[in-house]
Amino acid sequence: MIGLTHYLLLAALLFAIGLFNALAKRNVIAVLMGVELMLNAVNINLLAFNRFVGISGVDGYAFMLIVLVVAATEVAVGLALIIKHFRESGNSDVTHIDWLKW
Amino acid sequence: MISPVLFYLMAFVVIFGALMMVVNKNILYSAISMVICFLGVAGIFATMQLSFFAVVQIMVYVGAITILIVFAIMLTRHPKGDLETTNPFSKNVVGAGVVAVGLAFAMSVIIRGLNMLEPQPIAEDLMQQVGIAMFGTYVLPVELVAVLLLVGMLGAIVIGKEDDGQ
Amino acid sequence: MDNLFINIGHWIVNLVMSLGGSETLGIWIMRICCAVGILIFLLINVIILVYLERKISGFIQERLGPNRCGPFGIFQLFMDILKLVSKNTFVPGAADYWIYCLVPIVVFIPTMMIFGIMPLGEGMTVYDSPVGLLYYFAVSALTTLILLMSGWAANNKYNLMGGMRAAAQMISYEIPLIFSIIGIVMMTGSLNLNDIVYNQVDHGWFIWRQPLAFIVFSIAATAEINRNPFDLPEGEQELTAGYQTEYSGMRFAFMYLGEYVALFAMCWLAAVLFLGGWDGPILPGWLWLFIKSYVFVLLNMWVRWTFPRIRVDHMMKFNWKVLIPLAIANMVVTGVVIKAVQFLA
Repeated sequence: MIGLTHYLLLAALLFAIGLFNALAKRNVIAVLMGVELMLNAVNINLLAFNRFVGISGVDGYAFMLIVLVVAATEVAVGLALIIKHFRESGNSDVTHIDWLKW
Repeated sequence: MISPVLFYLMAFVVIFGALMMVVNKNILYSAISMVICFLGVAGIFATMQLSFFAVVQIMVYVGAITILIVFAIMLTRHPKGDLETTNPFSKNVVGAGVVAVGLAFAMSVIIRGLNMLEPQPIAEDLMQQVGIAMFGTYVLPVELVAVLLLVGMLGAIVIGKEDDGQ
Repeated sequence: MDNLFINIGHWIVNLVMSLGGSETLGIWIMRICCAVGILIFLLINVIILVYLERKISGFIQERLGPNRCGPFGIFQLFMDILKLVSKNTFVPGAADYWIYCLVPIVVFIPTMMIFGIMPLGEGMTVYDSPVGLLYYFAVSALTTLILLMSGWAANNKYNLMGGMRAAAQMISYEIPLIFSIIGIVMMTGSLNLNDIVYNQVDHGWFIWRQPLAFIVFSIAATAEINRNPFDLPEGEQELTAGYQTEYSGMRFAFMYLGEYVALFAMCWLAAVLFLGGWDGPILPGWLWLFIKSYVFVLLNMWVRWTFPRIRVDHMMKFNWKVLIPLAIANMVVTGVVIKAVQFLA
């Protein structure tokens, strides 16, 4: 019988995979994709809790929509920064972003 | 009430997509595996009988964010390199693996201690309630997020503009 | 006559039950038969659409169109498909093998999935979803991604430019498409396509009640499915067939099929949303819906062969500076009028 813990375990596993992606990759865009996976795991968590525990309110659903929009904004701004950095330096490698001057 | 076959199928799609995304050395294949993962997450929402959120997930994540990421991949590749080696692991692979596995283990220990709750039937006018909540109780976060979107869009345009030399 | 297909469905369920199966098995087999039936219906319609396109283009351009293969050129499409099947299907050496082979297979799957939630007549929806209208936009978002991949896969600069322009155009024109529908959703109070048709049966068709939304929807829909005058991504004079360049043989046939299925799905949706769905006096409901969607198809083909192609920067400026403000104005005026009517009554 599928209950709340199944969804929470799935979200935890997805979060761990996203975290691994964000920490262990050298391409900047791959790091951003890892962050997106983590935000998806958070969305699953929010919806699962509202669906199973707080069945009489809609707080989790409204919050999930706000998290969705914030994730989209963050991807847009992050990609603009990545493209700008690529124009300046010519490669998209995380280990090369180590200038503190600018 | 939730069919186990559907849940495990969608969970398999999600985890398969996420693992393929981690393992692929080609960043474009990695982005396509991310699409498979997002479709799986939409399926997970659908198993919870939340069809609106599944559809919104596909519209926003697959339809907009993935296209942004694919555009950025196409704009940031080496002129003469191919895409085969654009997504290598960094030297922190082992440490990151330990952290991720440890976090997953710790979270699963906590989660297993929770009660297994059953799904209750969903209200018929759920979307009406969400709409009323978003423009009633939560109007301030919604307006703030709208301003955030506008500022983010303007910022992305300003940052990503090419220098005209002026 | 009205319930012809519903009766066929009940007959299939009774047949399975009389052969010893349970009722749920009967319902599942009926659904599978519905799905296969819709697939065959779509393919037959695409054949009719391609033939119609060539004859109408010939008629508008004062020439005859195909008239050699069979009476009035009916078998022309079959000869074309025979030619395409017999071509040498190769993969270009520098192309991305997996994506190149995958794209023609998945290019028309999202648009065919639409007919799962689209009402085909009264009570004839395969799955009456509470978010049916939004499902359509999710599916066209999937199509956008697949076109972008098709532009990328062949490792050819014409393909890539065509693909990127197609993606930019499709995601830009999704916005006025969705905003123009929101007026209809506000007046109906539901995203369910059957509820929208019942509202039109009670209060009048939406083409009279939301004329600005109809105009914005038709322009945005033509741009969304990459039809002339917005077919810059596959413009022959500029991009040598755009995102379809390196695909030959059956792969090209599938992408061509995908384009016509998208046209048919969009015209069907427009008939359900604006022209009242299955509402009509004498003929059965599903026949009325079919006729109304073909009215939109013929209108689209007429527009295609009459107007020249729009340049890409004009297209973007038109979208962001004209269509989106018009759609938002329509949304605001609709909301104000609904509240004013509620307040005064």
